[in-house]
Amino acid sequence: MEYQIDITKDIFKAKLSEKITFSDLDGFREMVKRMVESNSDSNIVDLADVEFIDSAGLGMLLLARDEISKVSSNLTLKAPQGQVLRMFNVARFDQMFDIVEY
Amino acid sequence: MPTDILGRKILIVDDDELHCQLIAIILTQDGYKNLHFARDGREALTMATGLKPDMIILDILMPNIDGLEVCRQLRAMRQFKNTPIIAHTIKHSPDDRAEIFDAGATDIFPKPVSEREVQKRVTMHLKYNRMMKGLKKYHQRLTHDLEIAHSMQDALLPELSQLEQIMESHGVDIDYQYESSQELGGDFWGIDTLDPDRLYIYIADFSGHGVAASLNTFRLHSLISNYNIPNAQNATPADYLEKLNRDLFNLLPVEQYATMLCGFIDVRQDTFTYAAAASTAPVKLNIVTGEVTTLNPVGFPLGMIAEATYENHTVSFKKDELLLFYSDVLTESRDQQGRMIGDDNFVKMCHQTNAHLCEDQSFLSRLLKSFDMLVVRPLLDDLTAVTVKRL
Repeated sequence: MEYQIDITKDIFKAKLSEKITFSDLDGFREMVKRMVESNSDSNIVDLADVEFIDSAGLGMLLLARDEISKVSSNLTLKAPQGQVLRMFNVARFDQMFDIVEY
Repeated sequence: MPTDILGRKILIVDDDELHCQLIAIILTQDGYKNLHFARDGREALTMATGLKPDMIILDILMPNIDGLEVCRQLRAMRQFKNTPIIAHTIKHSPDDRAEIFDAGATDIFPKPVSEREVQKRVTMHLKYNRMMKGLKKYHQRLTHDLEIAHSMQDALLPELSQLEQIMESHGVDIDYQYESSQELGGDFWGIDTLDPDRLYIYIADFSGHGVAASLNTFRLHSLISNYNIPNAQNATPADYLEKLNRDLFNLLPVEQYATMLCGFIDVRQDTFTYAAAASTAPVKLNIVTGEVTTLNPVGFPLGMIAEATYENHTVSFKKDELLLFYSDVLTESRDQQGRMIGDDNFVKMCHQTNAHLCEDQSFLSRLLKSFDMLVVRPLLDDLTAVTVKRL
């Protein structure tokens, strides 16, 4: 997993790419830590360039949701595609996360 | 410096008494106190086997057996395979050095010696050796623990005698494959008799892998065993998932969850009623017509939200039909070109496998053979695949 962070006017954006799997746990935790520390009103995780997510990857998104809710901020998942979108549908992520298509 | 390092046995081998003394003085100054001496190659070899030194400092030009030969003979013995052997020699041209290293030496001290260099290098090699021994021991212990965990996990799976009994009593054919990955995984499945007409079947997979996933499979397995399914006649698969979800939600940290599918096979009504918690999509196949249907895997994963509800689905399940349950490694593995197999291709593989199936050939083993030809091993996760066929 690779990610780029962009913070503007109380919006924290993280653009993830490649794959989110078991081996990305440390990198992902680091990203979540920066998200929480930015104290932004809203947080967007852009998934448009993520081609694959495994079960551990979905777990990491839950972790992010949990950490963000602790600081009463918002988390939006943006533009899941392909396999990622299929995983979201199967696990009913639309009921647990704020998801926008683009 | 740590005292255990200073107490290590060092064997100093040199036919020149003065050189032996010189090295000994340098090492004693640094605090080393367990020093031993040999005067030539033959004595060195005899002493080494009894003494079992932690390090050998070896002159190369010696009468009888020279240092190179001593080095070769020591390395050929199992107990000295990893012992630091340091050549102490006047011959240290690039060619000489290559020959010394070829003989198995760990390092070279050129003569004349530099006091500080000898001290530093001896300490470095002893510390390095200690670290390697520690790592090796740790690795051995971990490997052993993982082997035990693997076999404990294998024990969660249904026994052959139980399966034979079910096949006999309910007129079904059950085939299954389980292959654990190098790491511990979170897969398991089970089947049980509900009543003379109905069977209860489930397949589950914990998120992630490794020790955490493995421990969680034991949690889930004991929850399932405690529900005492055969005595709860009116419960539906969705009821079981709801109960499991509540129990797991209270047990698990936020990022851990399980996917699962459970269902009732009714051989009198010719139906399969199931509920899913984000499992893989089971495949239903008619082995005569070749018709393939995928079942609905949508549902909240277990342990993610407190009060999840699940939906029951009922499909027909008649004679000559087969249900395939499998773990995600079958659809998420990659081929030689790095492309993921994917759900659609997997369904195609099932269809083709059936089309080319000879009589008396197992659908499952043929399917897994096609899978094996496609994917790159080793697999990154456990593989579980189960088929139940109506006879």
